[in-house]
Formats: sequence, structure tokens, C-alpha cells
Amino acid sequence: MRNRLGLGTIAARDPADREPPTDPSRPRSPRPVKAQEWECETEDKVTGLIDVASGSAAQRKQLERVVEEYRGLPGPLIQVLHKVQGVYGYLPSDVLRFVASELELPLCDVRGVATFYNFFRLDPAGKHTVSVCLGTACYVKGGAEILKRIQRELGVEEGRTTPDGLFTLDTARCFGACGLAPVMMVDEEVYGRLSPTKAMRILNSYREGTKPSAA
Amino acid sequence: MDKLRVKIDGRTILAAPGKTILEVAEENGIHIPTLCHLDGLRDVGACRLCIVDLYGQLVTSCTTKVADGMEIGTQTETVRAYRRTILELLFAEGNHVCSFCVSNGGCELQDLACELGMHSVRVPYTYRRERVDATHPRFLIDRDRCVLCGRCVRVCQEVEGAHTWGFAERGATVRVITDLAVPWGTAESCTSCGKCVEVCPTGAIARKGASNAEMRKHPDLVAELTERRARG
Ligand code: SF4
Ligand code: SF4
Ligand code: FES
Ligand code: FES
Repeated sequence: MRNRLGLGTIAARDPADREPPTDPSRPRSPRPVKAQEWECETEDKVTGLIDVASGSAAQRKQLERVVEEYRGLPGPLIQVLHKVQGVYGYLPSDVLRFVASELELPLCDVRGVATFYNFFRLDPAGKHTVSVCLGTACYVKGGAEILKRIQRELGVEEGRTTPDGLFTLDTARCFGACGLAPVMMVDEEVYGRLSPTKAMRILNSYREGTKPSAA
Repeated sequence: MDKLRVKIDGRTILAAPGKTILEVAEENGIHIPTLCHLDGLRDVGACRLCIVDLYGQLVTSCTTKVADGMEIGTQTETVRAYRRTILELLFAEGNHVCSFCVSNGGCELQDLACELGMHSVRVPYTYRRERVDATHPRFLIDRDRCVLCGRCVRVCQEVEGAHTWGFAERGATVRVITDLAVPWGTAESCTSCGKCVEVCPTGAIARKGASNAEMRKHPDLVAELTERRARG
């Protein structure tokens, strides 16, 4: 055997090194975990049937139709997620569980695909979509600093929505406004020649309900 | 089957076709450093530490098959320099403070640093902040020490069949997750078998309550298991 430890077989292990027995009086799952500390909004429960609480009954029907359409086809996950996002506007985690169980795919793979592609979102879109440009010109002029500051102050990662539902944070590669670099867009409005502070000032006025004039 | 003739570090070796460079080297007592490779698991070429010099091209020896007439250098100046840089990048990417780590002294990453003579890291540390997940009753994961080798992902999928671990996100934010990125303790697919603990080469996945001296892992149990299963 080529591994460095060369301890040989499992039987050769020191008994003191064994795992402690699990206490059967303590159920293994689910344990209380503060949901907001985690990336996933709903706490997973061990249940036989997957309950989809998100959305309306009509959306639920459409979801079932999408899954039926792709059942048994090879590599259906991306298409299914695409269509399902069309139904809900985002990918709620109970819907992801439903998709995983119906298509017989591991949960981690579904989550992996849903987070790999920029297109998929895991939160409903916020009231305003903030899109920070990381195209070449904006990047050189400090676009990444602006993004970092916004991430820190809003407390959200790229692609996610603030808990109050006000802002969804996105990035983009060039709006064709390089002359104004660094640039961000809030909904349809372009703001240029930004600094991190200026960007935050703009977002704060959106929060107060006023829309600052574009650059 | 016709044997292939390859040259490793100047030595002419007859190799069976279909074998990887790493396998052939090992069969002939030639050591190549590895990290993500583990006997018994599928090779994915994740860590790039096992690169060898084909004199004109660097390839990962764990995923490259031998070909007739291949000339391979396992210890050339070039590969050694590259391996060291790769290792330094791995250190800089995580928060590997060995003296505070439960796996100090029993860590494959640390062993590699010794083996490759890495006495400093020439690139700036990223000091990324990752989630520690201690919700599982017996195990915990400190993602700061994860080198994304994917051994946990593969062992859980290929050997245990639970498919609990997976990769999420991409680029600099890639990390290992359990189920839908839920707390490990609530991951319904986990059978608590502990295989991921045994194969994780660093202190990322560890047993709870184990002291440093107790935290020794047994990654070779995977080869043992797969061999026994094959025998039936
Ligand atoms: S304990 Fe076993 S089932 Fe659970 S994550 Fe680790 S390898 Fe998978
Ligand atoms: S947790 Fe351990 S085994 Fe899993 S990818 Fe990270 S370093 Fe590798
Ligand atoms: S790079 Fe930002 S607008 Fe062109
Ligand atoms: S051991 Fe070959 S790439 Fe990691």
C-alpha cells in the first residue's frame, strides 16, 4: 500500500482510536440549527415525501409537468432547472429537493449545478437589481473594490438577495459604458465614475426611496 | 498483451498498456508525490502535484496513460519547481496554521511540504473565511483546511454510495458541501460511516473530540475495502 501511514488494516487500529458509540437516545437528525447561519433557507428534514411549500398550486403543477417531461432522459438537470426557474423566478430549496428526488439525483449535485451557473438564482429577485461591472475597463478602475464594499455592506454574495428583499447583487462584464468606468447599474439606470463610497451612497438613496440621477 | 517500452528517469521499463504513469512508476519503486490520488478511488487530476515531465509537456501522472516510447522525468528541475509552486498556492489558498491544527503531524499536505522542501510561501495568503461545520455529532469540517482534493466527494459517492459530499460554486469560491449545502448534521443522505474522515488528507474533516495525537487517519482502508469487495 502506498500511503504514508502504512498502518495496514483496520483491525490493526488501536481500540482507543475507535469512534465513540453514538448515543441512541439522541436522534441524529434533524438537530436545531439556526437557519440563517446557513446558505440554505429551509432546514432539511428527513421525510419520505418532499413537500413543496414554495409558490402556488399552479406553479406546483407546472413543476410536476417539467419533471415528467424530462424523466428518464439523459442528463436532464440543467434543462429542468432552467424551466423550473422560469416557473418560480428562482430556485427555492424545497423545489431543488423535489427535483433531486424525482430525477433520482444526489442533492449535492443539484446544488452544485445550481450554484455553478450564473444564470440560476437561489433567492427571489429583490426590488432592485444591482449589477456591478467587472469588465476589463471597470476592473482596472477598481470595479472589484466596489463589489467588495457592496458585498460587505449589504451582507450578500454575488447572485443573492438581501434578507429585506430590497437588493439583488449581480455582476456583469461590460455595459458598453467603459468611458465612465467603474460602472454599476441599478435596474435600468447606469452610474459611472464610482468609488466604493459613492456606490454605497447611491444604494442608500434607493433604500430611502429616492432615485439618484444617473452619472 | 504486448508490453510498452517507456523510459522513466533514464530507466527503461516494460509496462502493460492501459496503466497510468503513476501506476507504472510505483510498480517499479519510483516515487511521485500525490495528493488527490488515492488507491481505490477514481483519479480526477484535481491537485496537479503528481505532474511529471514529458520533456516538452507537463502532465499529471495519475490521469495520463503510458504510451510506447514515452520518456518521463519524475524529478527534473522543471517539475520540482512547478510542484513546489502548486503546493505553495495550496497553502496560500487556505488557512493552514499547522501548529493549531488537529492533524498536525498526521497531515498529507504537511508531509508534502516537507518532502518537496517548501520552507516558505512566496505568494500572499488569501486568508479566506470559510464555514466551520460542527453540526454532525461525530465529525466536523473546517473548510479553511480543505484543499479541494475531492477525496471525500469520491469516497462518499463511489465507496459508500451516499452522495453526501459535492462541490458547489466555481472558481475561487468552490467548496465542498453536504446535500443542498445544509449543515452536515442535518444532511439526510449521510450515513455517518466516517469514510470521508479517513480519506481527507488534511485536518479539514476530523473526528470530534480527538486530540492531535489521536487524529490519525487511515486512507488506505479504501484500497482495502475495494479490494475485498472485488474479491467478493
Ligand atoms: S460519513 Fe460517510 S456517508 Fe457521511 S458524508 Fe462521510 S463518507 Fe459520506
Ligand atoms: S474536505 Fe478533505 S477530502 Fe474533502 S476536498 Fe477538502 S481536503 Fe479533500
Ligand atoms: S468594462 Fe465596465 S462598462 Fe465596459
Ligand atoms: S495526484 Fe494526480 S493530480 Fe492529484
